[in-house]
Amino acid sequence: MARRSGSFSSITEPFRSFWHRFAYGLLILGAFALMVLGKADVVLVERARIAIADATTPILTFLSHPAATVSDLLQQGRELRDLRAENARLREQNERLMQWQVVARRLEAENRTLRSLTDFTPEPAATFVTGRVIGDSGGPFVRSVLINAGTRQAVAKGQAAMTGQGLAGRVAEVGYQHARVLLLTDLNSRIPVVIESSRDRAILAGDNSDRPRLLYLDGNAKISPGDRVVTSGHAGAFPPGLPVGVVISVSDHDIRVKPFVEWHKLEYLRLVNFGIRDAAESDPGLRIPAP
Amino acid sequence: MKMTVAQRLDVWARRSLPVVLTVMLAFIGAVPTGLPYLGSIVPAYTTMAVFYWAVYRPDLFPAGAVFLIGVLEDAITGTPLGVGTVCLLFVYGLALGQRRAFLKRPFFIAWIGFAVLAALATLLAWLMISVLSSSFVEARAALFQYLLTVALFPCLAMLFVAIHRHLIR
Repeated sequence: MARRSGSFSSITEPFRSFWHRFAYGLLILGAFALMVLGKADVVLVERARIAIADATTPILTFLSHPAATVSDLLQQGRELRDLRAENARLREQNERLMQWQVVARRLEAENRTLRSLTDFTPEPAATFVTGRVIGDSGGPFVRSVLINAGTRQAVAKGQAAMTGQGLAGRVAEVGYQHARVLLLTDLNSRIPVVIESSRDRAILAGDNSDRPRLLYLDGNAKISPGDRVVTSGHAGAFPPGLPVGVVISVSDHDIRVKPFVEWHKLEYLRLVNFGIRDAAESDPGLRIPAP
Repeated sequence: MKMTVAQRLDVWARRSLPVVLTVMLAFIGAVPTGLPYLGSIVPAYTTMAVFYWAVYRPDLFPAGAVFLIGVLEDAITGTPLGVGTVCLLFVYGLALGQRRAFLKRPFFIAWIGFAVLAALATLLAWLMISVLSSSFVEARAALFQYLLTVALFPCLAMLFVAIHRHLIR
């Protein structure tokens, strides 16, 4: 920009190159320091990362609109192509579901009667916050998404994130206007689950592949491909019985689960506030009767 | 010759283009594409940009900017803070040190150089993530991202060359 004379730049050049090298080493050290501090769970690093993500949320929200429009158009094209086959499939499914509806009605009635017989305390009703997926981790080592809902919408850490199909993950980080959802498939994801039919407990552990593993399953448990896996509710903030996936392969030391969620179609996530904290206030059984 | 304010602004805007563009690429890499089969893997756009500008115009791309872009990208993508930053700085440092090998040579030499550096950076990231999580992390996605990144490098390089020409003009 500013033109320097030859002699001046020849004086500053060695100093500048020294500073250059010095700065580079310092920056590398700084990056490693961030990594170590982050690993040690220093609050400041956590806050810095939340602040950066929060500040960039409006930009990501803006950018994700056209991308969503394009992918919607592609989706519509595919749907038009498969319309006939889809129709036939749905008709067949509808018939099957009609039969299920009859069964469900009967069970519901029976359930109500039994509950009134046993004085069963119902679970607190859940409330939902829905957020749009605005950022995808894109990297090969992390499976998480950013959504445009944060503490402003009463999102809290640990809440379950659902799509219409099933559980997608849990809220791992909350800012004022964004939240990061750690997906089931992430390396750090651990979710307590049960096998729906046998009620055997296990932990669903992600390993960055599309098929998370079942860990700590009882050695005597009978498990076979096709078994449905649902949340057990043991972690606290998770409601029990959220659909997670089906067992897809069973070998000696490796049981893999195929989640119900289709990962490339994550557009909106519903965060479930199970209201465990409010349970005591809303539960009539715990209220002390007036003398 | 004295420059007017408008000219100065113009020069300043042009000189900041490489950094601004790379910041934009960091955002674009995080936008959900919703493409099936591709999963959530996107090519490492920022690595390509850092390599290109470190080789051809390091005067417009200081190491501090590389650091900040790395931190920004780590925060957006949810990678442990510092991992992507170290990788970007690593690519930047090596590309800067070896830039004479690529300057005024055919493009494919730079492409091969980039392929080697990106491979080292991917390996470095895998090592750091494995150490941080104290287990061997699944590397298939990383390999896929690496191949995608190397394959798409010429396309992004065309964009960078266009901007580079604009800077010189």
